[in-house]
This record gives sequence, C-alpha cells and structure tokens, in this order.
Amino acid sequence: MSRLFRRTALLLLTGLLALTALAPPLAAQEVDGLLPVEQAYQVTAKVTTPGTIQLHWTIAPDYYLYRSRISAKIDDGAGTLGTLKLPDGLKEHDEYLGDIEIYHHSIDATLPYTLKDASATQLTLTVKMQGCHEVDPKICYPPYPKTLTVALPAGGANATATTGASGSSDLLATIGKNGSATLDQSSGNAAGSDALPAEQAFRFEAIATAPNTLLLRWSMPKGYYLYRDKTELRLLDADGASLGKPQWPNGVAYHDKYSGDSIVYFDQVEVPVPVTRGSADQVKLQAQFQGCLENGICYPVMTRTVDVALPPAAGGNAAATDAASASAAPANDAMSQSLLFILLLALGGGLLLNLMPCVLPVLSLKAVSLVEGREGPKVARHRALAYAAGVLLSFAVVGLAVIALRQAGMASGWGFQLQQPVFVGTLVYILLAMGLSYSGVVHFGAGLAGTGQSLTMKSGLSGDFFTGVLAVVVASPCTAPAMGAALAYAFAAPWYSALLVFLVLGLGLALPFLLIGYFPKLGAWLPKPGAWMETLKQVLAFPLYLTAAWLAWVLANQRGADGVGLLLVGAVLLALALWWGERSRHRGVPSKVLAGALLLIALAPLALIHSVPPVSAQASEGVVAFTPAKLAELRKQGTPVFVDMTADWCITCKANEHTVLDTDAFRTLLKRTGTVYMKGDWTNENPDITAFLKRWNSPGVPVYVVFGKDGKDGVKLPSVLTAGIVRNAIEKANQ
Amino acid sequence: MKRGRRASLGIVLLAVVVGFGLFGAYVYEYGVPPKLLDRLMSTRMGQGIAQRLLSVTAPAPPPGVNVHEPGDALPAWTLPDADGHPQALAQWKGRPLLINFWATWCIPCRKEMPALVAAQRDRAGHAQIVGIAMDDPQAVRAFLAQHPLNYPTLLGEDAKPDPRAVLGNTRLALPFSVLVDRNGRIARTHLGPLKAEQLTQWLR
Repeated sequence: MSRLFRRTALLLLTGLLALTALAPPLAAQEVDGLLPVEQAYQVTAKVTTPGTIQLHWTIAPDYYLYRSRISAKIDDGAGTLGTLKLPDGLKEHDEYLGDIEIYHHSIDATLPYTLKDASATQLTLTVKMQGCHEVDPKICYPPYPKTLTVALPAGGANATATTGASGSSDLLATIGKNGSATLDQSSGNAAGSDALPAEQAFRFEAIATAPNTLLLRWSMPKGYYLYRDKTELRLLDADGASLGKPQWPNGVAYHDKYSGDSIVYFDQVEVPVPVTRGSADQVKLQAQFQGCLENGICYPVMTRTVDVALPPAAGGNAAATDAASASAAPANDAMSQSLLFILLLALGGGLLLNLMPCVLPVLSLKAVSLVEGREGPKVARHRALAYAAGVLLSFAVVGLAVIALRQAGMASGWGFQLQQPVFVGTLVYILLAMGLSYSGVVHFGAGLAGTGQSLTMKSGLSGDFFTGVLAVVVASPCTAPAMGAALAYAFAAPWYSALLVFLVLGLGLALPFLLIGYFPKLGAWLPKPGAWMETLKQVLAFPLYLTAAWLAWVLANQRGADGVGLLLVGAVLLALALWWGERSRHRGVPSKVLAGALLLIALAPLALIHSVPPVSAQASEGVVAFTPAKLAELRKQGTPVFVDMTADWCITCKANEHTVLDTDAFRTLLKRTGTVYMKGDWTNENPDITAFLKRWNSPGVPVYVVFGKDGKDGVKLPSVLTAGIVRNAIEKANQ
Repeated sequence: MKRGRRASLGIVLLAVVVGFGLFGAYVYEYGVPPKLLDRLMSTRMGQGIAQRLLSVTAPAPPPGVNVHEPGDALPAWTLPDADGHPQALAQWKGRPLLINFWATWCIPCRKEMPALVAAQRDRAGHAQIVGIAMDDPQAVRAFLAQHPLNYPTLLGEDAKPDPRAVLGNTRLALPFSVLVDRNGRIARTHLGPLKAEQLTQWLR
C-alpha cells in the first residue's frame, strides 16, 4: 500500500516537473507555429539576362507549394509574359487525389518576357501561389498574390532584384525602396493578409536616460503609423512614482477613414517622459496605443508593459549614473524565459548540493533525529522551517554581499572584470582550486567541519536554524562552486534576479529537509551517506576544469600565447602548492612555510600577466577597426557606417555574429548599401570604446549603432539582433 | 538489501535531476522535438490547446468584418449551389449542422472528405453536413462530377465579406469546419482536418 503510494507520488512529482519545464517553450513554439503566409513562402525575382526573369522561392520547413497553382502575370499591360518554366516537383499519387506535384524547401524557375517599352528600367509582376502546412494543424492558405518589382539590366550591366515584402527574414528579399508601395498593393489584394502581427508591426521600448527621465521609443516598419492622441501611459504598482507629460515631437497630420484627421508618427518616434521617483528604483510602465497600416488595417488597442530600472537619483557621480542605467532593459519575454531557466538550474543545483559529502552526513543525522523524534508532526514542521530559514538567510546574506560588492565596484568603475586579464587569471585560479578540492587533491575547511558538528548537535529550534546556516557555511567547500556559478550570473544580471537566483539555490538545498519535516515518511528515501558521494564530488570537478579552460581561452584572446603560457605555469604551481599544503597538514612548521612560499610563487605569474602587451585588434577582411577618428572621417564623407562593439567574452555578441553579422546575407547587404562595417573589440579595455559606450548609454557590449548616409545621427539597435532589425536599420539609414 | 535499494534510489533521483536539466537545456535551445510535439498534439487536450492558440494568434479581421464567435447566431447566408441555385443555410435549422470550407486544390481538405461522407451516411436524418467550396466554380463542378458527395456543396468564393473571416478564421486557411447547433448558434470551430472520432463526437 505505502509502496504504491510512494510510486504514485514519485510519478506525480516527475510529471509536474516535466510540465513546468515544458510549458513555456511549448507555448512559445506553438504561438509562432503557423507562419503568416508571407513568411511561409518568400519569393524573389531578378533579371540577369534580358528577356528572362529568374524567380526563386524559399519555402519554410513543413510547408509546401502546389506546382499547378503557381502563376504569374505582368501588371498594367507593360508587356507580355511567356510560359513559366517550373522544375519537376515531388509527385504524389493517391487514389482519391490523383496526381499532384508539390515543392518543398525552394524552387528556381524562369519566366520569359517581352516589353512594350524597350527602354523601361523596371517591370512589376504579380506571382500567385498556393500551398499548405503539412504538420498539425494541416491547413492550406488562401491564394497568395505577391507583387514583385524587378529592375531591368541597363546597357548589359547586371541588375539586382528588389521585392517588396514585410516581416521576412531573408535580407535579400526585402531590400528595396519601393517597399511601401508594393505592400499597399498586396494588402489590397489579399484583404490585409499581409499585415504583420501587432508585436512585429509596433515595437515598444523604454529606458531611463536620467534619474528622472524615461525615453520611450516606438519602432514600426515602413507604412505603419502610430496615433499620438490615442496613446496612454501609466505606472503599475507605482510606489509613489508618477509620470509627467510626454514630450511628443512634431508629428505628421494625417487623414484616414478610421479616425479622421489626427497626428501620427511613421517609422520611429522617441518620446521623453519626466518621471517623479517613488521609493523604488524601478518602475513598471504600461503603454496603450493604437496604430494602422497605411491603406490597410488598423490594429486593436495594444498594451505593452516594460520594467525600467531608474538610475540612482542625483548626488552620485556621473560615472555611477551612467553605469547604473545599464540595468535598464526592456523586460522582454526572452529575458524572463531565460531567468526561469536559470532559476530551474539553480533549484537543481541546490538539490544536488544535498548529496555532497559535506552536507549529506549532517543532513541525514538531522533527518533521523527528526523522523525518530517523538515531538509530533507540528514540532517536526517547525524544525524543518527553522532549518530552511537558516539556509535561505545565509544564501540571502551571500547574495546581498555580492550585489553590494558589485554596486560598489560599478560606482568605482571596475564593473567589467572579464576584460581585466588579472581578474580572468584569478577566476581560473579559484576554479582550479575548487576543482582540485572536488578531485580530492586538497581538503579545504576540514577544521571548520568539526566546529560545525558541535553546533549542530545543539537541540531545539536554534540548533536547527544553525544547522541551516552551517549547511551553507561549513559546507562551503562543497557549496562554493555552485555559489560561483550563481555569482557569475549575479555580476551580469539585474540585482533582483541575482538575489532570486541565490534564494532559489538555497531553496533547493533546504527542500529535502523541508519535505521530510512535512512528510516524515520521505525520510526513509534519503540516500545513505557512503562512498558514492565521494565519486559524485569527483565527477563534479570536471565542469569546473572546463570553465577554467574557457577562461584560459578568453585570456588567449586578450594577451595571446604569452599570457596563456604564464597562466598555465601559474596553474601548475598552484596545484603543486595545494598538493604540498595538503601533505604538510600533519607535518611540522617548515613544511607549512614551504607550502605558503609555493603559493606565493604560484601567484607571481598572475601579476606578470598584467604586463604582457595586449593582442592588437586585427581587422579581418571587409571590417574596419573602430577608432573615433576613422568614424568621424567616414561620417564626414557621408558614408553610412554600422558600428559593432563586441568582446570575446560576450556571449550575446557571439550569438549575434553567428546568426546575423557573420552571414553572407549581411555582407551582401553591406555591399549593396555601401555601408562600412566598423568593429570595436572591447575584449581588452579601450578608453575610446568605453567613451563610445557611455555616449550611447550602455554599460557594456554588445552595442550596435547605425550611422546613416550624409552624416545623419546614429540609431542604436537592440542588443539582441535579428536579420530583420539590421536590415530595417540599414535600409533606413540609406534613405 | 534495503541499503542497496536506497542507494540505487538516490542514483535514480540524481539521474532524473540531471536528465531534466539536460532535457530542459535541449528544449530551451532547440525547441520541443517534433515527434514528441506531434504525439502531444494528437491528444484531445493538445488539440484543444492548439485550436485555442491558433485563434489567439490569428491576425486581426479586415476592417468592416464583424467576427462571430461560438455562442453567436450563424449569419443568415444564402449561397449558390453547384448548379447556381441560391440555397439558404437556414433551411437545415433544427439539427446539428457542420459547415466544411474546402477547395479542390487543397490536399488536406480532400483527404478529410471520406470521413465527412462516412459521417453524413451514419448520421443521416440526425445531422447535416454542408460543404462550402472556396474555389473556382468550374473546378468544383468538375471535381463533383468525378467524386460525388452525399451532402450538398455551396460556392463561397463570391461571398463578401469572406464567411471564413466572419467565423473567426481570419487567416482564410483551409480546411475549416464550423459546428452550428440545432438552434442556429455557432457551437465550435476547427482549423485543419477533423479526425473521424472528432466528427462522431461533434455530430452526436
């Protein structure tokens, strides 16, 4: 009976865990599961030899097109089209369906044409297609007409293609200045089916530019506009804070059939809003607004909520103000999802800590006393709560200490440690030492554990509370690496999520004892301490070594082979010192002095690393290294510039390079628009780049700024790039 | 013996924690594996969630179109049949009516048809199925000549505004089915082909 109960409980628990892990990504995937038709089927056209149009379709995975349902017609009688030559498709035969040919992935087709006006420089044609989605939900789209404008080769020169499209991820497909014209046509044809989802059409961001000013920004693709007077702003859980009057820039007087005459904004609008601070240094801003697509549809009222961190009020020095506006980031879904993921990891890490040799013996001792105690369930519960309180309090103290350290560091200007080679080296040393301790080469805190035992033997609630504290403090040789990971996160994240990570880590550690307090039967499930704990500990050493290896790579990029050589020598010396230190534990004083001396020698390379000259930033092909002078020169010449501030240790930068900047599509875009790609490498500290970052209100990298043609002011892009964002920005800069 | 079992339990727990971590990381990075997703989607709950999400993410209706939701009365539409005679949908009031939007070129629609024919045969006199072809009338007539159906087919292509959009399918995707109860009220809508068991349940 009880066994059955246990099994059911286990099953339920796993099920719940699975659901929490699955739910958000599942929902996210399904929400964009059915693509808008213009994203499912993207078509481009170009003419390289006069007389023949080359058509290329890109079909999203899990979508197909019917061969017999593709047709093309030329608009407004400008000429005639020949027969569309399509390749063979995949033949499907079905008793009920007959023969059908379909296409997946892509199609290349040719289409002959003759023009009435031989001197025409472009022709406009409409391609009609029909297709379906082949996994659940298995649906077919209505006939989808797409209007393409093709530039014709003049004097034998190769011409390039332009197509009007919206929301497509293909860079090539959407470059072209006639975007809005074709958009209007197609939206007329397909009853507004070309209109983007509201989230894509109207992007809303808010940051704090000063302790008492918010800057709101709406960004819209071409042809979309925002009504000024239908916008409402309010603060949620204001805590005494309040908003002033938004300072709208001059808009455009516009007439449409939905709202009559009104003031609207196209493309992008930035609105400063004064804010009176309350008690919190963060505000939750809710914006309601309305907008439309020109000659297309109007969207229902849109509501967006963003969290904006306010920089400390006046009184701090300028550096502090700049640094703190760093954490002002729009609360977007991606971020909250990654926070959830990190919290799950932290909970798992905390649970794992229970199995460590420094924790489990104490825990099982306590658990046995709890289970066998005759105090009754109520007292057992109180004891479990006291223990959990002890654990959580300790973690909160550590977390707050780290945050305080970070704030102090930021204020004094050393917030960005990973670019300081000495800091990187120190981290490698710490991780190596922790790894060696897990591997059993050295035992830290062996003496501490003894004092811990006596304290935890105390009975009563205070005894339980201290067991909780000591599970953290005494067991620090085991818990510190987990703390280290949380610590690394804490340095990068906003303070509240950093604290949350520490607390959840603590919750994970306290959870088993807490559960035993409420369900004493679970006590029997606690694994018995044994040799396996040692194995587990030794296995966990390897992730630490890997992290150290990553940091060594970071250093290699900062200081080259010389720096890494020094670091490796230092690491070996550190291992030697720790090994000898362990051996000399039970030996005489001279032996211990020798261990200390070895440790000092091991630290010497760390100091030397600082004096190794930095690796000079090498500009790869087609990329200009950032210098303020060069930037000023290019802007003076009127050349558009895409500035990319990056660093080797910046994961987001690497991700952006991988998905957008390091692609052929992006290089083609640069070439077509004549934009210079200027890259600043902040892997090593560089005062010019730091000044640039400050100018753009950013505490760190990545920062992407597009400077337009003819010396136009720069536009800062979000830190997570997509092909669409970059394309829109560069396109706009070239108008 | 007991000790051994507990130790193995600890290892199993550990494996579960690590496994969840790895699986969570995989899902986070690459999304839910398609096979697992398919399996989840074929359950009734999965279908319900999917239809809800599809309706939530549908694009806004074109201006002037008033979307009728489940619970609302079916608009009084009169559409031509394949021979061009106008037919009012109200004539089938009094029993459950299933309206199926389809087109001759739409593979999923045509794969769904045998199930519709079978359901109409089984429920003859108790429920009515009506197909509305969103297609070229000639193509529809040719198709019906080859594949006679045991339920009426109406032509919806010229209806303005598009009845699919009015019934909430602003994507205008096919196949699309709408169940109307015996009082002429919209009971439910479904995007994508209906399975035989869903049909049985709908027309009960």
